[in-house]
Amino acid sequence: MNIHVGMSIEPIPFSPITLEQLQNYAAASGDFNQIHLDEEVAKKSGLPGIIAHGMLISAFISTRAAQAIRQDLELNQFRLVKYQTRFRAMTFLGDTPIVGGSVKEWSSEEIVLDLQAKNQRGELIATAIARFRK
Amino acid sequence: MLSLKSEIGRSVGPFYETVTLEQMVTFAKAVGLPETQIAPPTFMTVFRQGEFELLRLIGVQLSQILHAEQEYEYIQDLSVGDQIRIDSKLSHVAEKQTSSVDMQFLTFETCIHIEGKSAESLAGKARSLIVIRTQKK
Repeated sequence: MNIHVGMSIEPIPFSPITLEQLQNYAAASGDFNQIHLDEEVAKKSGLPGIIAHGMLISAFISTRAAQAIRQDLELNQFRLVKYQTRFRAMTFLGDTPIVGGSVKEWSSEEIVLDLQAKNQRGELIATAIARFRK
Repeated sequence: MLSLKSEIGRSVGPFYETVTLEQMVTFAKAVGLPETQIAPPTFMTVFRQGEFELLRLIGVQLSQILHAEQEYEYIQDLSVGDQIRIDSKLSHVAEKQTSSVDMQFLTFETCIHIEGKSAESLAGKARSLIVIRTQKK
């Protein structure tokens, strides 16, 4: 595998966001902020409607990063040491996060991936940096 | 909303928990992963109770906040059965105003240690940046 800086990590779509998924994520994560669960609360808080937990999108990105390391790049000895996500825009019910990226830094001991999640309209919803070391 | 700068440095904890298989499986399923005993990378968010407790103590309602950034450092994997200690603090507050909205940016730092290990017990660190938005009347 000829890994190089700038090498693309193919964008892969996750399934569209559903209320059931947000309910399951709230129960699993302990984040019961009602703007993720209750339309009325979301609107009272000035939002257009229910928004997904940012950390659910972050989980999708980290999943794609781990998959890229093991399957796309075949770097099985590398482990994640640092993971940073910045949330850029809200994700609504029915939106489909699509996660891809590129290799930002690469050496025999360390690899850093730049990742982006976009929605089905092509709008950037989150960016992340994942640093793996041998 | 009143400035929260006077709350900088406020801390809560320690909270103690045991990492369970159910927590890991439920979390993995909720984020669409197959069942696994290895924690998915953002699993540490399950131990965010200190941050929620600090928000409650300083009088911030959850419906007022949005998550702006999240960072994790991983030192050791968490495994089923690990007894962990969670400590959280509000480490920074920044304020920003526009013509229509007041914003406060709160940084929370959480450390997770695995108990009962003599050395190198730090499992990971989390840093959350959340924003409180208040519309101007």
